[in-house]
Amino acid sequence: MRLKTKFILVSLLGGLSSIAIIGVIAYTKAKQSIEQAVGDSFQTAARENADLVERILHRTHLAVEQLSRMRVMEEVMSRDVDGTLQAYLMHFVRVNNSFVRITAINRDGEVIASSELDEPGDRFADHTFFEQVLNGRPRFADAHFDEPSQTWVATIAYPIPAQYDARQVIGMLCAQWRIEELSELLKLNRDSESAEQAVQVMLLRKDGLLIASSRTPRSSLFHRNLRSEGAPSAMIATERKRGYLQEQNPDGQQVLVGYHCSGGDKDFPAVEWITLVRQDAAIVFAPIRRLWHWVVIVAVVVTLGVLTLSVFVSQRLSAPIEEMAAVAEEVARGDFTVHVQRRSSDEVGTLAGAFNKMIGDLKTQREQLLKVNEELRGSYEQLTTAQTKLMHAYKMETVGRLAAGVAHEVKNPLTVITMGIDYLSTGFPQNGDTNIPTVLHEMRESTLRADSIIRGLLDFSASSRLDVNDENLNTAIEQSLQLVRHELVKNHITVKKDLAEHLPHLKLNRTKMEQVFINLLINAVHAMPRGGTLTVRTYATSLLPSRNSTQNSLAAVVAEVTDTGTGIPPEALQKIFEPFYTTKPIGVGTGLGLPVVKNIVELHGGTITMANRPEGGAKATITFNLKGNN
Amino acid sequence: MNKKRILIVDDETGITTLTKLTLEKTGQYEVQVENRARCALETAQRFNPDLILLDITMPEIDGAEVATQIKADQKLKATPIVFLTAVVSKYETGDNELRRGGQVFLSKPVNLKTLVTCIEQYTFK
Repeated sequence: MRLKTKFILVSLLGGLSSIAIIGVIAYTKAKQSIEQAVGDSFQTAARENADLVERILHRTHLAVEQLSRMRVMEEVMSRDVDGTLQAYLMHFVRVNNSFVRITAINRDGEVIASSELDEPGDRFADHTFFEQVLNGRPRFADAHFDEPSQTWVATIAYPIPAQYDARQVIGMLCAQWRIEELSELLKLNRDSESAEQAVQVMLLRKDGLLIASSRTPRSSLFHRNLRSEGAPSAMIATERKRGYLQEQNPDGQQVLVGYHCSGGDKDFPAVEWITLVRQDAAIVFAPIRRLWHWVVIVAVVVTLGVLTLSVFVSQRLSAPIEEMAAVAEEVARGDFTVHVQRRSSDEVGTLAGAFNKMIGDLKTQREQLLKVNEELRGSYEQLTTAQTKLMHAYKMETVGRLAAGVAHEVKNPLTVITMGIDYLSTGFPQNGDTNIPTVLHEMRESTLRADSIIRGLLDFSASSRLDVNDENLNTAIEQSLQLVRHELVKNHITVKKDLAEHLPHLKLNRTKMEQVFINLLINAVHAMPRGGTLTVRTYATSLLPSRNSTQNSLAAVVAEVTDTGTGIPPEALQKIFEPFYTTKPIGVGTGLGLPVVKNIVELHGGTITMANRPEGGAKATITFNLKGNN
Repeated sequence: MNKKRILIVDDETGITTLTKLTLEKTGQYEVQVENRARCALETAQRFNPDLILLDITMPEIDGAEVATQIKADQKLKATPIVFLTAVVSKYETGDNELRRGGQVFLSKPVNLKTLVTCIEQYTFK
């Protein structure tokens, strides 16, 4: 993976993980806080509503109590014969619409007066209730259905004290209070909220019956029982008194519920009504959802920011490194002219500086190495040449010692024989044998031949050292041609000379070089017994293409001797430079001509090759390397 | 006419014997032979030759040493010396003889004609 990609990935991973952790923590904390706050507010709303209901109840109680203490209540004792109490009660109920009916009952349980016209004379049914009130304690009957009025009411009963002695109870004032009124009052002061978002306030009887609601349709009032429905809020409200929770409606909707269970008042018995404040959780926690949206948006924005920044930074970081890599490849290819641009003074800049210095050092070292290598190559070549020369010289010295020994041992007997022949040739009596001169002649010829072989052997071996001078090769060739002129003319041979004019001078032993060319020319003559053309050519040339072509453009001098003769038998080409190998008839060649030639040429640092020409005849090529010749 | 006096110094008795016989057969030379190189100076002083044929490769003392001794002798120092050698090649001696450092060399095997020509050349007075 590339450095840039790695850096971007690491940055992204780092940025994203921090953002994710921060976002999740912030979201969780915020969600908790919001839930707490909203739940608290719902709980508060429930308490406020409960307070409101209690205040109303309290006021109602006060109203009934005050009514029971009024002087007009004395009428229960006189059975309201003049209808004063009746009239008052009717008037009172008409003014206070929240009451369904108010009834005054004497100690005997007889209805003395009622806000309803047709009631006097009835007896009060609930004896326990009645007894308690007569004992001086006000009494509250929880919400119930009132048959005569066909409405749901709560009954509040107060003892009617005697005017002369407040401790004496003379009757009971019983008021049926209209519970439906409460639904009108259970309105939160959030009028601006739409019906959808509106908070629902519910009032439940202790057993869970819905007795008032701010929003529920009238039909469900006094019919729904939230405890029967299994609503957790209704279940735990009586135990925990206050709090908030989330629950599911029967229709599956998630709602937030704040609850408060009223504990009654010192002035009237506990009614333990449950106030619930409910709202759709989706609406309540909309801020939390919005918060989540914001967290996601911020995360995306931060991610994009980190991405952009990391791309920018990694570009800045990796660009010089990539440039260095490219430069390093150039250097590896051998281009030392390149260098890295130093853009900054930080670590990367320092690296670039060090890199450039390294390239410089490499260049210097490489040049030094090349120079040393060149010197070594030169030394090696010199050493090889010297070794070859030394080995050759050693070989020739050995051959020379051998040849000298042989020559000495053979030549002395040859001298004796020669002298003997000469002795016999001068004035020897013939005895009539006419063959004697022929015999002596053949003997003399044989000694000459033996002598020439010994001389050739000495030639071959006795030239390990040369006295050389700066000579023009052409001069040696001209001189050699001059010396064999007689042979050439005698054998009807045409000579073609193609000698280069400005030939570089060579270090030559001219006598030896003439010997070389005389040998080659005589060989060519022998190859053309019926005449022919002999071509001698010299030229300067470069050898192999050199790296320093200007310096060694004329590296060698070449001489060629070409004939139009019989050529060299293929099997002879391999052995032609070996001593005592000859293709000439017995007595014509010694087998030492070309070995001597090769020896002399090599002593001059040159090479000689023999080849057949495609068009017929043979060609001898002598090459003197100017460097080796020195 | 006096015969020319030739001294031959060579350890090879075959050479000295036959050279002496052949040269004397011409009737122009009186030849003295010496096969021992260390006796060469003594023999030369006694014989007083007109020319000395001197072999180079000899046991005990070589031809060069003998020549040095003879050249050092007051009476003999003008006597021409022709070296006979078996180890000088044809290209060094040329066809017949070699002159090097004022010395004359003849390459073995030498025939009568060459020998006589050489002797006549250096004993010509």
